[in-house]
Amino acid sequence: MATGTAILRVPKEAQKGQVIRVQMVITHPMTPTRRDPQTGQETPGHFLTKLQLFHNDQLVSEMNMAAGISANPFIALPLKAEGSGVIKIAYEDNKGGKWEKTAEITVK
Amino acid sequence: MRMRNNLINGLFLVLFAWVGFALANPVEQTIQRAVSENKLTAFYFKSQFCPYCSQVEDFVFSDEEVSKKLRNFLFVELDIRSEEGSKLARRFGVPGTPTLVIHDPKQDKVVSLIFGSRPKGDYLNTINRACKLYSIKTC
Amino acid sequence: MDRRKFLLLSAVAVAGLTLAPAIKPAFAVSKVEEEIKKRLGVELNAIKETAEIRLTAPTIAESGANVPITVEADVPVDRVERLWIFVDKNPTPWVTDVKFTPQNGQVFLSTRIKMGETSNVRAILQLKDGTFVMATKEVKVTAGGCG
Repeated sequence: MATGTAILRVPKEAQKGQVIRVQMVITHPMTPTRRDPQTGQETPGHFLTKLQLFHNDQLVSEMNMAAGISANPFIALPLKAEGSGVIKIAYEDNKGGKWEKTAEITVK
Repeated sequence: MRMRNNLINGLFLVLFAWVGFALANPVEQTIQRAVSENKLTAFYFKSQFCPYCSQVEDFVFSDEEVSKKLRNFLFVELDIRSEEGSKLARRFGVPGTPTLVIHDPKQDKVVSLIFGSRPKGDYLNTINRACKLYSIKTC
Repeated sequence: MDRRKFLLLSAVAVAGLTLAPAIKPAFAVSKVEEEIKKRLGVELNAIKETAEIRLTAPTIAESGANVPITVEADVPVDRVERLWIFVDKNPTPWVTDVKFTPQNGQVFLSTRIKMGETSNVRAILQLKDGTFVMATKEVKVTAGGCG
């Protein structure tokens, strides 16, 4: 899959006030800055730097990261189901890549 | 007359040597370079999709101290499944990837070898062993 | 040696002994202590361990490239500012930090991290009142290879 594509999983339905898990797997190499053992030259890494979690366009959580997170990151964050609507993740990497993914939830 | 023959012989010799070098694959070229520069070679055997190789590349070879020491050697990265890689791996007795082999090109002898995603301290020991044996001052 | 010299030497010795503790050599500070000081503004040894944070990680990790960790805390999320994850022996000990809001509902994070070698993993909660609490777990990273 192309770098930056994500699988976003949230429960389809939830009770009001219930804390659900927002789970995601993002395709990304998360390579750290590497040093060539022969020349000592550094090759810059390629990794996600930030991920934001939104619920109906309200920012819920923000995660800063770098190459210490494993390749093709799996991330799960909590969200209190307050109302039906759209759950969105927005994420970016150190090379200008910017992506978004949404999922819908019905809250009873 | 003899001068001219010698000159032609000399030219052919140079031509053959150059062709011999140019036809040699990159690994053989590196070994020849190591011999002429009076250095040991450091062969790093890796394989695609091996997470342990990524780990060693991220945490060991990228380390400043390790990288500095490795500059005393001629460092060659090889895919163990390539033709060259698999041949050399068999010759050196490489168990798998990641493996670092310090090799003396003049005596065609494996000086030290380390296999697996071991911590950088273990890799430094393997490199230092070669440095001590060959009295490499800058190591 | 005459008495005057002896007294002088003794005085110097006593002065030296009393001053010596002040000229302590600086203790080598580990990289993780430095990072925590830099990012959190607090000394690592000043952060208390708490059972209110549950840090789940394998005792022995098969591959240092992929170590699953889960952090769950009983501390009410409204009191929490940020969660920090550090790995002592990584070249960069800071791994990630997560800002929580009451909309999260609870403090929870599950992800996979990289570890270069056996090391402590630390989950540090930065609370809104300026204090910090922590859970630590040692994860052994075994060496592996591909056949």
